[in-house]
Amino acid sequence: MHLRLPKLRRLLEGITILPIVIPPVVLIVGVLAIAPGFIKSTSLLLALEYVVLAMPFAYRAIDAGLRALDLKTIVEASSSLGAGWLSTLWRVILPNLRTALLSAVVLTVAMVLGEFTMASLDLYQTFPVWIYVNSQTSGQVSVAASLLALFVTWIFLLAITVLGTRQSRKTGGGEVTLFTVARQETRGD
Amino acid sequence: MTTNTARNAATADAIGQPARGGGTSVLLRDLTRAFGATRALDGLSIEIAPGELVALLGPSGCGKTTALRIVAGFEMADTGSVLVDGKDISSVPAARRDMGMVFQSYSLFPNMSALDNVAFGLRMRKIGAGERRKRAGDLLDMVGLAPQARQYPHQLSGGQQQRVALARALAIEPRVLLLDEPLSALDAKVRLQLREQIRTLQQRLGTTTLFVTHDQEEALSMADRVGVMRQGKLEQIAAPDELYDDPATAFVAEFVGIMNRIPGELRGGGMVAVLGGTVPVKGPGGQSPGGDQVEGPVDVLVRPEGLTLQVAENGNGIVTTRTFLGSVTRVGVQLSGDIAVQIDKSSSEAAALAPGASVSVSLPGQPVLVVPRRPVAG
Repeated sequence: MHLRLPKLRRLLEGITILPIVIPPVVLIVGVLAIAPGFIKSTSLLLALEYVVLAMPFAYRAIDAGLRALDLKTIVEASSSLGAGWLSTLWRVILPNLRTALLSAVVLTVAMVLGEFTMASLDLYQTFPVWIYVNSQTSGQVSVAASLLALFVTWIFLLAITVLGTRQSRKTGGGEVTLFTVARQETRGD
Repeated sequence: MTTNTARNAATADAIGQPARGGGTSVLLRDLTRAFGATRALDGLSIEIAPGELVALLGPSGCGKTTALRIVAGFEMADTGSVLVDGKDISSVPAARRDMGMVFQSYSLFPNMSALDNVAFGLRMRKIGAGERRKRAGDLLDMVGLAPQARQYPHQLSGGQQQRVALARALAIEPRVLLLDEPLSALDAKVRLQLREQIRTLQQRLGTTTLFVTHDQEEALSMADRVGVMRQGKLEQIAAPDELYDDPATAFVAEFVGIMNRIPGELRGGGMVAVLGGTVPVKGPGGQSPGGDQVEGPVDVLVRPEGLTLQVAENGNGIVTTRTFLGSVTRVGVQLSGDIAVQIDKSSSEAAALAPGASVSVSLPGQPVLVVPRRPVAG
């Protein structure tokens, strides 16, 4: 899209920001109203909803990564050297988007792990929903679970960050930290 | 191109590969390309001989880059065709054209070391790891960057990056090498070095090369032939010295090098009256680029080194500026009738010509170029 249809970018940016603008409650109620019965209360529906919800963050992170590259020149250089579309994507573009993709993953994971509204209204018990339900009955368990969740999430994000940084330090890209993520977010606007 | 086989033999030695027999000829035939209402190319035809380096020179927007991109396969021509070794390649995708390209902006893959960048084209050609490392190493050595093989693009200077890009383009043993203003992002000194390096390599390998630039010095110093373009058309294509001495059009005359325009009067019989004297008119084949005009007002075109200048009381001009250029000094003189000219004098002689000095400017009697008088602006 950056290469072929730069004009469509604005439109797409607009579309991808919609899930942020629309409150999750509205989104889930609407989805539940039109979703076919067999898919309700399944993890599949929730996954689809999360895709929509995570899109703005993921899009922005990747968009920032693409802008940092001189995509046109790099793609042309690659094809003049005899690489087809797939090789160019796999060997040239994706490796250079590593940092951006990791940012997208970090954001998405962080968001999905903490999401409550949609899951609870979808009657699917994700971890946050489970904590909430349990806090009604036994406070101690839910506090323990919350702390555990915090810790696990933190470890997970740290692992992604360390992995990403090791690679990008080699190629001169920025470090993947939540700070980079935030920076790429603002740069993307 | 009798030396071509010898050059290819040199290639074989240099990168340990059997030489491809003979060079590659390229023919651009009647290319046109329009972007909306602008015609980027308007019937462009160029023939490039095997092993030749042709530079396309012109002001920005004259279509030179479009021509190069059509040869590379990144753009399609509206009409016309590109023939490589006599075969029409218009429908061949860029990836299968076997053309090495060096871009104006830095185009190295940031995720690969210099060596991997150079080896990329070989990898795409399914050449084994050992072999391609060796060949990439040899090429880096050839551009003088063997010690930097392990470094990543962001650790290299601009000049080094372009040298890696050159090695990368040459690694695939391209049939044609395309250079899209590869030096314009570099600083003056590096540009000069790289210019010589590109030319030396190109001659050693005998690779047919199309070079696009807006820097006339670059074009004149590197190319076998220079094509001057204007508004999508080729004004003239000729060897650098011919372009300088015998420009085919007024545009070429004034675009290449510095040209003084002095009003004169055609007197018939191939003579023109200018600066108080009469000198013969010259042109390609005795014809002046001015056209068929035999008499009347014209502008005479003279190079700064083609005018003589003497200190004289009550001369026809006054020195306004003096620019020291090393062995010569360029003197700006204001002639009567509000005409400014530039004249090159050897620096030792020019020492006496302080701004404000009265001088006499004349033509030594060599044949001169004339063009139709340009309407006075303002």
